[in-house]
Amino acid sequence: MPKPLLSARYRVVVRDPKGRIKYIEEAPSKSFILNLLYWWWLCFNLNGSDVISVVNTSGQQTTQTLSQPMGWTGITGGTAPPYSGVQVGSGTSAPSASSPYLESLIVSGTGSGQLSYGTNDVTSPSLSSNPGTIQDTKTFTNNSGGTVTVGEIGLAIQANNGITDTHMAALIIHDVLSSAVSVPNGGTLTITYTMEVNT
Amino acid sequence: MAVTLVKIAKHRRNKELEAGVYGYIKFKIIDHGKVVFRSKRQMHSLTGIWFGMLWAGQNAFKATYVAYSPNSFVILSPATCSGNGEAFWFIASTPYVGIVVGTGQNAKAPDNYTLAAPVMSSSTGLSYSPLMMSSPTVSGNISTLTMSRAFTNNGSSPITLTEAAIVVYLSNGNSTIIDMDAALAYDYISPSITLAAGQTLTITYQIQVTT
Repeated sequence: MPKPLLSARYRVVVRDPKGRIKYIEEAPSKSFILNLLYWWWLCFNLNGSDVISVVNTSGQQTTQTLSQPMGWTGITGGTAPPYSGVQVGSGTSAPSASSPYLESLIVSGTGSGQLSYGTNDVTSPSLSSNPGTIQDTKTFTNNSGGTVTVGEIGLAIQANNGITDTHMAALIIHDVLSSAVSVPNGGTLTITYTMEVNT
Repeated sequence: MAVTLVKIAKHRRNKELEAGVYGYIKFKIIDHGKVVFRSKRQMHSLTGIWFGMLWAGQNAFKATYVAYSPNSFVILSPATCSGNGEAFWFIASTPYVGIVVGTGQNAKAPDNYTLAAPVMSSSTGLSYSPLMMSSPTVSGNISTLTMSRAFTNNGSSPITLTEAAIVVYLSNGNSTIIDMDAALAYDYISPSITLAAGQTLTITYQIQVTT
């Protein structure tokens, strides 16, 4: 049975307001989406007019024109938008290869149904042995005043317009949790994506 | 004593095809207009360059890399390819971006970004045709990216190829610009493929993701 060139897994941890762990889920990531291949394709074709589907800094679905000299800036480069790196949503439908978005993105904030997005903690790549690994962790805090339910998660990179220096987030991995998890008011949700390359 | 109940959901790895990114390499040799050889093999190796693409801007990404200068590859010592933010952009501005072949074999490792003995394009040896690509396609839950390049042996002697790579062009994008070519994927051509004088080899990479 062949091993994938690239695979990923995720870990979800929910804590109550006192920091006690209430829920843990670990699973292999099942869904890389088309945007990943667009990313690679544009590595060879970036010509200043290419467009990719993204969410903007407000969490709205839109498109981004990629211009030289800056097309992609990883997860945390430059002025990273909140939705770069790990994203969360309330949807529970199976991901679609050609859908570049979470079904229902949870917007960063303290309003009803919202979660405050923390910063991305991207580890230094481990490349000394096979498989090579890298991790991205983000913690979401619920200051909404009520319980927030998360059903889907994803990982996004930054698509940058080099002319206007506008950074937006392009989803490359989309996973649905085994069951939706509730983040209590005052509690936190920490998600770690670990990716592996096999050589 | 109070007991805290923690719900733990663990998934076993799929015993069939593991979700992720897979790749295949197709080889086709044409001699005097006739196909004389076909082979389809599995790709085995993505490199850590992919992580550098994710990691860009977070920290300096250090790699032993390959530069072109301009008609020969130069193996350089570890250097930094990431700056204060805008790092890693990609254009097909160098002749060796895309599919590159060689006659050596490097150790397969996540931090190997070079071919052992890349063969340069030459009008009297192995000539490189332009890289051919099309936008990714979707069929059901499989998305596919395809790229290909033809290599023609213009010399009078056979050339035996033992390695192939997909090479990307990188730049740190800040004021101290460092440009480089580095292998995003590296594979042995095993068994090796010998291209006789006058023959043309087309290598096609198919990279697939599962949703």
